[in-house]
Amino acid sequence: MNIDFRKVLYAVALIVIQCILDNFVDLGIYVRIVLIPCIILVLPYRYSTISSMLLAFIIGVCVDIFTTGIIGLNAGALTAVAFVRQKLLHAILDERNMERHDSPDVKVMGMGKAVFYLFSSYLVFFCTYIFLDNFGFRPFGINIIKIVAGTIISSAITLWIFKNHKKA
Amino acid sequence: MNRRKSINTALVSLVVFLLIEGLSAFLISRNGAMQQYKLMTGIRNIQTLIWDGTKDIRYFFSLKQTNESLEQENIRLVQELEKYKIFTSRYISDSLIQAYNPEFEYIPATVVKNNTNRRHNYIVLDKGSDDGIKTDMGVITPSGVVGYIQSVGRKHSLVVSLLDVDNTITAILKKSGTFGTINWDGKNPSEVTLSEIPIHTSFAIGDTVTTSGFSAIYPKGIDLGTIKSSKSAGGTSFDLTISLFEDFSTLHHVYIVDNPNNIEFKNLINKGDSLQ
Repeated sequence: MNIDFRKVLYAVALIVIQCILDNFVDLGIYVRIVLIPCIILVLPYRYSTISSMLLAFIIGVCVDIFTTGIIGLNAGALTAVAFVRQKLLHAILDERNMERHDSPDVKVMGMGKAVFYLFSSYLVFFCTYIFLDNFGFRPFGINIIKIVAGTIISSAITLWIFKNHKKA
Repeated sequence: MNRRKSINTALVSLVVFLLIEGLSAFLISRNGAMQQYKLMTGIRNIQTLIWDGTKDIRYFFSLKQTNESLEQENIRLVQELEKYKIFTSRYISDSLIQAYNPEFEYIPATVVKNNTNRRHNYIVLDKGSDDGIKTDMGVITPSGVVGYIQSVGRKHSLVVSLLDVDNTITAILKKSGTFGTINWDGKNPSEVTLSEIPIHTSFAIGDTVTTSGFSAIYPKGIDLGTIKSSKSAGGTSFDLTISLFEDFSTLHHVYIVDNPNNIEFKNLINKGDSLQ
């Protein structure tokens, strides 16, 4: 129970930080730091894809309300992350590993697999986010830069959080 | 049996995923930032409370820049006042000038919230319906056009920024008087595109672009920026890249433009449209 309460606090803290980042930190039109996928990525293995997606949608709506003002933007992108989460985990981890541990962890996964897991998830997030924002990918050049820059920077920051989340 | 179960689960997940994505796309298309402001006034009020609190901190760190900008504006106004003094002293007896009623009225306002890094940027001002603000009023600064009022709360109003890919204004080349449409392409916040300039128009890099006064939202003759580059659009017209005078990232003090004749102007435009 204590652990669950801490996880909820951890999620709330990430949502608040995300709102602060979006409202008060202007990094130009190409870079957006996103941390909320981290909440979905460290969910315990027992969370099914459907429950993860519903949780992702609710978290995304909360962030949308207090940041972009366009409801559905972060919600849709985060839902896509939740949709691919289990598939990615099954692709990089074996069943025994997932049964033995409660939730994804860098130490158990190994750095290479953790980077792959985060990078792929963020790529999905930014592709969906840009697609929903523009209802397509045009202007192509700018959007590619946005996707790549956002994915690399956000993945790197999240990797640090991901490494430390078990310690918290 | 297990395989069948997992296929079913995967299918259900896919359906739920598509439903949520569909719902997200629907919400985005229906609830743009502007509609959102109208629908969720309560939430916006909480947000504006936070923004109001933090704006003082932000202003503290940009006081030097604000002072310089106000100083420049003051000098310009004093010079303008001097010109009018000379003008009115010559024609003070003219009854037409004494009866002169300026077409536009200006209400000063402060920026509470401003975005420049999105495709649909918006600005929140600290003036609302209590201060006589209405929708479709223009928002300007001495350095150019900022946008127009999209929705109004009691104490705050929401401005569709010029840096919104869907916002267009009509502008003219100061030298030739040729008009075109200004639109932001979502890339550089210090540049916009002036399109539909006929191919025979003569212009030079560095020429000034001003508001046309065709819309009754913005006064005529506000300098917007200078021509940075040009390119042919299909061989029939030019698309000009305009370097804006206004720096949207340091926007603090603006003027809301009230045109009392705006409704009459709109009615005439609507009549004209219905005739077509």
